[in-house]
Amino acid sequence: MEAINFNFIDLLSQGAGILIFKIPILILLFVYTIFTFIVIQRINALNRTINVIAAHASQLLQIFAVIQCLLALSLFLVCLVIV
Amino acid sequence: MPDIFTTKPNKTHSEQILPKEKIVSVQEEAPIRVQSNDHAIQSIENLIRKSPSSMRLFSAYSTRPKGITFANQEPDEAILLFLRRHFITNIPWILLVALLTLIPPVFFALLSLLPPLTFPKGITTVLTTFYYLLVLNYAFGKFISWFYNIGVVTQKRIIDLDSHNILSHNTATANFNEIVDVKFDQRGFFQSTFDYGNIHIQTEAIRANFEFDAAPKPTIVTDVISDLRVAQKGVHHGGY
Repeated sequence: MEAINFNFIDLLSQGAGILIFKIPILILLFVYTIFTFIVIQRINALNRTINVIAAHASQLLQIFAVIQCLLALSLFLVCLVIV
Repeated sequence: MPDIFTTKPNKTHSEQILPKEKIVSVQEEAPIRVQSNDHAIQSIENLIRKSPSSMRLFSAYSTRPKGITFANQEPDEAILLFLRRHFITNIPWILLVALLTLIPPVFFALLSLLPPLTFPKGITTVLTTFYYLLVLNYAFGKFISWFYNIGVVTQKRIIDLDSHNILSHNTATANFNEIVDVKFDQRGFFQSTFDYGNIHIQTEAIRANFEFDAAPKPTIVTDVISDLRVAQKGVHHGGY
């Protein structure tokens, strides 16, 4: 059976390849990063409305939201460098 | 003189549930009402004592929870009941997340059966990580909408905090004298087995009605709200 060989690196080196892959991924990651930042703000706002200090619940959620935002940001930067 | 007019109300119970000024005014206005209110207060105390629970991270039902504050809380306002949707209602999205987590390994396993394709590692890694971040975000969003979908019953009012998704939430408050009717429905196998149901609180016409969806122990919650309504209004109620 003849192997199908898609060389994405060659494809990406061309202008069309960049448009197809790199830019949409970067836009998606950028939007996602912004969204995670909004999530942090929302959690802060919700904690002002009702603060569950018990079991450090509110703080845990805030920390988790920040971690998520940092993950998105680092993925965006990685995508910017690698892809 | 009948005992009912001379008997002093149990101060320990009253002070715990109702604000002082309320008790005093009620005592001065109508002694019969004191008896009725005190009975309601005692009933609430008994109900809360019957189902004690402490506050934890995943608590869906808590009586007299410690470590919870809310906006516009008055200094003498204590939380009697803290409610969320029963944790069992999270099972569908947890299963969906588990299923979504398994998709990439299955996809790559199936891909390995096909004729070899050369994917640059960078793209594969970024796309897979992004996919998992989206799944994580979905799970987090669902958890947040459960976590901040809260019903609070204090000795003065009820507060319903609805969080439909991460970007929208609304808070509604009603005093007990605005409440017209409290009822609940329990339907289906899961609601009966795990003892949770939807509590409907009908308020006066202009105000929107309150709903505590999938609240645990709806019998006790309904009873407590009814008794608090009785205690605040000084009206008799015939149960539900």
